[in-house]
This record gives sequence, C-alpha cells and structure tokens, in this order.
Amino acid sequence: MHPIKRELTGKETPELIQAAREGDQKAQSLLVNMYSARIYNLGLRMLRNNEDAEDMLQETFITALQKIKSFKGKSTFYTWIYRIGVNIALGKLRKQSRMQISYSIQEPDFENLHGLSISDWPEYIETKVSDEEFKTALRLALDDLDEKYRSVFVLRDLEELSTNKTAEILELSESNVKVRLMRARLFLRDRMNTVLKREGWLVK
Amino acid sequence: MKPKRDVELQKKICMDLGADLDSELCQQVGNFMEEYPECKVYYDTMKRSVKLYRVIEDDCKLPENVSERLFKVLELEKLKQD
Repeated sequence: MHPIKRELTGKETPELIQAAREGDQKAQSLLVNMYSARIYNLGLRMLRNNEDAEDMLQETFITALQKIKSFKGKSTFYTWIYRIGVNIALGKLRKQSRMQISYSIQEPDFENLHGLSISDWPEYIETKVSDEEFKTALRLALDDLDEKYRSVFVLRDLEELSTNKTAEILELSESNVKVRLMRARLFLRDRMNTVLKREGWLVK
Repeated sequence: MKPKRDVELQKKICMDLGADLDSELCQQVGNFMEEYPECKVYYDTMKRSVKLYRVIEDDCKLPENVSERLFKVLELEKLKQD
C-alpha cells in the first residue's frame, strides 16, 4: 500500500481541470492520484466489500473521464466525481437488493421499536474497538442495514455530509434523510447493544 | 426524586434538531427528559455507537494493486506516480 499522495499532487486548480478536459493525460492522472483513495473509501463504506469497491472506483473514473467535457465547474471536481461515485454505488446496491429479495432477506423491522433495551454502556467500551471480534460484530451490523438506510448513514455520519447535500445526492427530501438517519442510528445502536449484552459487557 | 434536567444534553439534542436552546421545542425536549431519563441513556449510547463506527470505518490507504489496476483500466499506467 502507498500513502495517500495529496502532497505530491497539489490542489485542484482551474488550470488542472481545464487541461484534463482537453484530454491532457498528465492532468487526468493527477486527478486520479488526488481522489482515488477517497472514492475507494466511499465505495468500501457503501458496498461493504473490496471487490465491489474496486469496481465502483474504476467505473467512477471511467465515467468521469468520459464525461469530463460536460463538467462545467459549477461545483468542485471532487464534488462532481463524488456524485458520480455515489450514483454508481447506489446502482450496485439496488441491483444487490433486488437479488436479495429473491433470497427472502428480511429487512430490519424499524417500525417495531417497542421493548428497546435501555441499558447504559460501560466507559471502557471505546477501548473495545481494538478487539477484532467486536469490530467484526459492528461491521456485520452495518452490512445488515438495508441499503436505503445505510447510504444515508454512510453519507451523513461517516462521510459527514450535510443533511442538505445528502438529500441532494440521494434525491430525497431533507426530512426523509433525517428520518432514515435516525432509524439507521437506532438500528445500529440496538445491534451493538445486543452484542454487548451477549458478551456480558453491560452495566445492567 | 425527579432527576435533574441535563441542560448540556438538551442543548446537544436541540443542536442536532437545529433549534435554539430557548425555543419551545427545546423546552419540550427538556421536559420530556425529566420524565423519561432512559431517553438520555438511549441518546448517549446512540451517539457512542456512531463514534465507534467512525473509528472502525476510518479512511484506509488505497492498496497498491488496486491503484495499479485503476491506472491500467484508464490507460494511464505510464503516468502513474509511486
């Protein structure tokens, strides 16, 4: 693995973008160097496995370089390519969820949140993130989160986009983003609580 | 005995909701928390779970072989910098 090469590639400048639009391969490779790690990380968070994240990364840059002439510079190049990446990842997720329906994968029951386990967590819980089993349990919970909630959670809580930006990218209303985020957080919190309870780490 | 209202928590919740601390909405949140202290625990643990996800889902470096294949598929491999 090599370090993210932001320091070698400089900043996204209008000259660099213009050169890339004109087909300058050196400029295009600089943009690939600049943003490939971030797009790959987005892919990993949304798609949950290395192969799909790599496919998404390649498709994103192929699409971006094919369409770069249509990039008008109204947003940064990064915002533009990020949107392309999110759309490609969403397309893959939708395809996967169609396949999952045929295998009767059950969606978490968000509507039935009665009987919540209101246990407090011990202070040392943060130290448990170094425990591989605990990490795996957390990742599995995120894997189990339905795509429509997971994409909101990834963009809002992990990528730290605003509600407004998330709504725009996912073509949802802002209130829908808020509701989905709340449900995703509740689901993940409750799954984590179940793991903690199972392992006997809860205070009560 | 009624638990004391947690102003800091109320403030955090209201900031998340985009409301001012003096707003009617905030007052309602405060009143609600006084009656249902389990909600404070629930809100706190939910925030902690998001924090934990940020730690385990932190940025990873791009694997070298993934980078190589990307440059190859884009036909830019001769310009790839190490």
